[in-house]
Amino acid sequence: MRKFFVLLAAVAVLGVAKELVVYTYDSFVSWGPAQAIKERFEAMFPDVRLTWVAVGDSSEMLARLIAELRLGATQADVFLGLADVELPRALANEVFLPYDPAKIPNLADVPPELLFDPTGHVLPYDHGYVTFVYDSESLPLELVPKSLDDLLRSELRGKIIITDPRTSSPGLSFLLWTIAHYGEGWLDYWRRLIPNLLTITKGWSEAYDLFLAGEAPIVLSYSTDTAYSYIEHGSLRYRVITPDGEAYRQVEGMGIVRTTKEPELAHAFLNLVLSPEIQELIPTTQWMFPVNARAKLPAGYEYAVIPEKPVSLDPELVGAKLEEWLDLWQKLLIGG
Amino acid sequence: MAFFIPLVNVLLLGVREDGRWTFTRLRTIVATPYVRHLFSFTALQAFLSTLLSFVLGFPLGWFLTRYSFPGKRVAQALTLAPFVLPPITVALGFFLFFGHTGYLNSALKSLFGLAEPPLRILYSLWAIVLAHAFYNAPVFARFIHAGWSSLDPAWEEACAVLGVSRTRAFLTVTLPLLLPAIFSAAALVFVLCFLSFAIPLSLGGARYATVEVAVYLYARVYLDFQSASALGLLEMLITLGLAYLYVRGGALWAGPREGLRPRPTVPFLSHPAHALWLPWLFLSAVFFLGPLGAVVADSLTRPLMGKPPGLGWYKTIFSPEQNPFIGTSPLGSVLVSLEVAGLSTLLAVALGLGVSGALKVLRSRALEAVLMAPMAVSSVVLGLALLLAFHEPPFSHLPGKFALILAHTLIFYPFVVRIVRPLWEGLAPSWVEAARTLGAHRFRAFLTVELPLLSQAVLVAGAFSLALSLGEMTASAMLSQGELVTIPLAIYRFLSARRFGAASAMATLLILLTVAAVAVWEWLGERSLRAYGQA
Amino acid sequence: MAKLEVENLHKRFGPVLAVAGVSFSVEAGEILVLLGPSGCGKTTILRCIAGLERPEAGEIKLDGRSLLPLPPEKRGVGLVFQNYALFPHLSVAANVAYALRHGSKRLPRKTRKERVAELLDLVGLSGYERRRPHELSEGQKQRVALARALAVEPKVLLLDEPLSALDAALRVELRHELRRILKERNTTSLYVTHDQTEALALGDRVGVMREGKLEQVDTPKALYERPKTLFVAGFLGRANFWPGRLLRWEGNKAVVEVAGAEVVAEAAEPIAGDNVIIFFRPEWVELGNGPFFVTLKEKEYLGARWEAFGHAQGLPLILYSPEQPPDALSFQIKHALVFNPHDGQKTKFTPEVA
Repeated sequence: MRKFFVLLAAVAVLGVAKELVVYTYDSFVSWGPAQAIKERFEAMFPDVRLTWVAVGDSSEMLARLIAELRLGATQADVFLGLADVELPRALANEVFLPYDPAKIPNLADVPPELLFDPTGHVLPYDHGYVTFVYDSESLPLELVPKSLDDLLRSELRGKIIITDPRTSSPGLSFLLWTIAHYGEGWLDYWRRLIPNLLTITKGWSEAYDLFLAGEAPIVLSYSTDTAYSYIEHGSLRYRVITPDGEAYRQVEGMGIVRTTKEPELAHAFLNLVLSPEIQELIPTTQWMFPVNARAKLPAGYEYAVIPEKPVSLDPELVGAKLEEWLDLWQKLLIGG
Repeated sequence: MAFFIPLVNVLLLGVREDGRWTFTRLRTIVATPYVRHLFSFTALQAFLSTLLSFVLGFPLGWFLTRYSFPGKRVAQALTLAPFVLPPITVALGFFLFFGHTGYLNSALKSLFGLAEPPLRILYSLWAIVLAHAFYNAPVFARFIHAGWSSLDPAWEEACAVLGVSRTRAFLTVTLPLLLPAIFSAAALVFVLCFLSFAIPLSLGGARYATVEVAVYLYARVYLDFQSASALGLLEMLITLGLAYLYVRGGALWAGPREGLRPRPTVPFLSHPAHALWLPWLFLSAVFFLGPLGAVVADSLTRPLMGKPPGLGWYKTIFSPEQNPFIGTSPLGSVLVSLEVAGLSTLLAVALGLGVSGALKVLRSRALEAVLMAPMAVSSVVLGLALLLAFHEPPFSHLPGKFALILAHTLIFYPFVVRIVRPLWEGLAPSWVEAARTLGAHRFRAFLTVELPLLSQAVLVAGAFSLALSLGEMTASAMLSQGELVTIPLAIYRFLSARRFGAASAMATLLILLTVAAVAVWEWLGERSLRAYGQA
Repeated sequence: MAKLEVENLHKRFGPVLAVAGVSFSVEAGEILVLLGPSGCGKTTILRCIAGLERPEAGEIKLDGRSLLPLPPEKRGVGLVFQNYALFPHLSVAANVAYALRHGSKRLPRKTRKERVAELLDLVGLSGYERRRPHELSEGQKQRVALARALAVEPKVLLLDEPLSALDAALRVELRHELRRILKERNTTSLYVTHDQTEALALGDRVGVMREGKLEQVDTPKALYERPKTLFVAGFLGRANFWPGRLLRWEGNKAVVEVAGAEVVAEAAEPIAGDNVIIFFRPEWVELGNGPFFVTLKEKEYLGARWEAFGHAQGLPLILYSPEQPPDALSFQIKHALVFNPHDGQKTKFTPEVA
């Protein structure tokens, strides 16, 4: 039996001439439109196989890619899933090639304010707002937090799941959010928040699955989750909170890896992701907003929340101070 | 040799900068409260784990020594399981069994009609300590059982005849004589818990990171190799000291002394008082078998695409299709594991025999400590050393798989030595001398006389090594690249991506393989020791 | 000082009947030795008396009181183990004092120290208080084991092949000591061994055992000169066994035709038929004249005498001679015993021949 599979694998490898390898984060494959993209792409290019590698959350994948580049070899051609807050890190490590806009016609439909990389290496493919989501069936109404301070209430002990800012982009967004909101007092906020955390997972997938399984009623996620609740579960069970009316803005990007051997295919890939038909899949698979202005939002997306006061920090500031902030946060976590 | 050069390299990275010797980084690292807390937390959880393991394991050891019952051989074999059972399967089992929506809480909720899950164990220090205790209590049981069984029953009989009550005899004679076994086991368990990686990584969350996890994060996620090396160096100093203690006290591993009457056992439940054990036995069974049972149960009951799976999950884990969550195909990871395990076992056995022979001839305590050092070095540091070594010539010309094979060989040959050496030392030199007077030169005498006599020990060591290699995750995580993914790493990634069905199926497969290896150990190991005793 | 009585003791291990109905008694102050080959059940008897094994049937009485319902701790019986069983983590003094410290008859510290000193003096190990068992020689360990067992002044002392691990010279020396010590304290002792020289030298009486049964209990002299079974005859000392034919009786002596001549022998047991076996020891042979004729094959010089092996009319013979004997000579048998050829039990032994 095993021989048969090995043979099959061998034939599969031999039968396909080319391969395009895309590094992304795990939820893009388990939730997102990865399969649809693969089908569409392979239909367009029959002799090419599209391979997804998604072994962790976004920051972890970025670290992996950087490590591989540093140590000499990577199989990745495209990286999809770079949060805007991580752009400085990616650029500093020379991860990407500049893209050629001429080969990406769909770029014309993307509003310029979403193009967060002025250096022309990374393109956006979706955007959204990181905030908190709660399970209305297990959290009594009076405990629903209305502000960031409300998250510190003692009744919420062990009831909040967040993700690790070192390995997950929503986690990082939340960290930056607290810095933006509390300024110098952010460490103090965290000191009082930590007892209320059930756990700090490595990635969003794990956190959200824990939330869906009922392990805790509040999770750090995206502001489109009410729409998710409505469209997927037919109810408004999972609801988005905008504490103090805020949420942290996040734009996700993709780019061509510096050492790729297939720049033409890579460009075609980027173009495909920006196409209206793929972009229209984003809201119901990624649960984020598309960047292509021509993409139509599905019914039910009126429940997706857009905060009154979206928060975001200046990327240059983030680039300069991020290491220090992470260091302080990490020490707080362990040392209390 | 291949071990020492990269290792020294790595450690030097921690103390050299720009080609000059400097201890500043080391000092700054040690000075930060973060690192001090890291080490003290690691030591604390190791200490608590050792304590809990002792508390849980001692009664088990007592039970095994005193009573005979059907299925005792199986129970005894199971005490070896923690040595070979991959920690990631334990972590998975804990999730499935003790989690808020796990089997135990669900059962308790429906049994007592509760609204909230009563046992909130996960995501805390206790989760780590409990998982470690689950893992290591059988180690204590085994050491205590082995030690106790090798105590001459005549001592206890002498106490009885001298008019001393059973309790007093236990406290004044049996317990003092068991102390070496207990301390030996405690040292071993402490080191294992100190160097534990998979369990704190998956059960503790970011707040409960140990030094191993920190070295991994620094090396693979933050790409700060110098800090990683500095931490690794500090860790190594501590564990080397502990490993030395273990070697000194470790003679008990060699098995029962020859010429002793086997200790008489009492059939269990032959006396009504024995029934007092039953509640404890029941709870222990729940605690120990629960998580593993949960893994197996999950692999057979978790819905696959909305329907009961039957053996569906097992089919998926042999699929040759690339799975994005693990970065290769499940079948690929199985093949990688088998290849790495097979080759590293062969090499470990050969190397182990060589080292045993060398130690036999050279007889130096210091040499022994040095050669057994890989046992005490963190796998993460070893992986790091090889990771860096393999990106420079001359090693960089070899595929990455070799790094992993080498890592496993180095990690496991000390086990081979530990198993083979006591037997080899005990072989009467007269056999080899006889062979030589009959004309065979030294190596031939080895092949034709010593090796066949050692063959069962070699087989046992080989089975052990194979099982350990299949389950090893730390070095695999450090050295993984592209499609170089092993089974435990695949399980971990499935677990992180919450793909429990696939994780459980792979974990069950691993459990079965390790149980088979343990069975080989028990059957052949005992026979070879007995044969030696009569020879 | 106490009298030990064992009545009809039976002990089974699985399908094997280790002790098959053994009865004997040890008088107060007497040393009784149970002698027999390995596996004959003698150690089992000791363990039953000590309370470490439960017999299936039979009775064990000490001064008339049954020991069977009592656990080993309460029997007042001492046991010296074959492998000494000294506690390795305790010093010699602590070993000897162990029962006095933890047992049922405890003594205060000062008295303990005195008693230990006294006992060590008795066994010739004064000054060894602080030594550890692993630092002692085999003989010294043996003495500590004895001292330890005597510390509680047991009513009966059981000794399980205590000298078997020692080399020959030490064994001889220690058995003198042992007898001296036991007699000095007038301790009722039951001693078990497979060494017949030891048995004959140590015991006031000796019981020969075979396959779970007691063949004969008697003084050493009686056992040697008047064995009651073929097994006992062959087990102690050197023996010659010749098959012969009973011709007639002259009073209570039998006239047996053997090897072409006649021998007068005493009946060791009631004789059933005409086919008999005569038994005679080498020293019961007179050399030089007589109806028998032997051709000697081998002669061994043993210092004090010569031992020679040969055949007389095809029958094997061992004899002693003060000087080197010639290759062929005649002899007569001055004293012999006559037995039935089969004694009903499976005869495992074979008569000693060259």
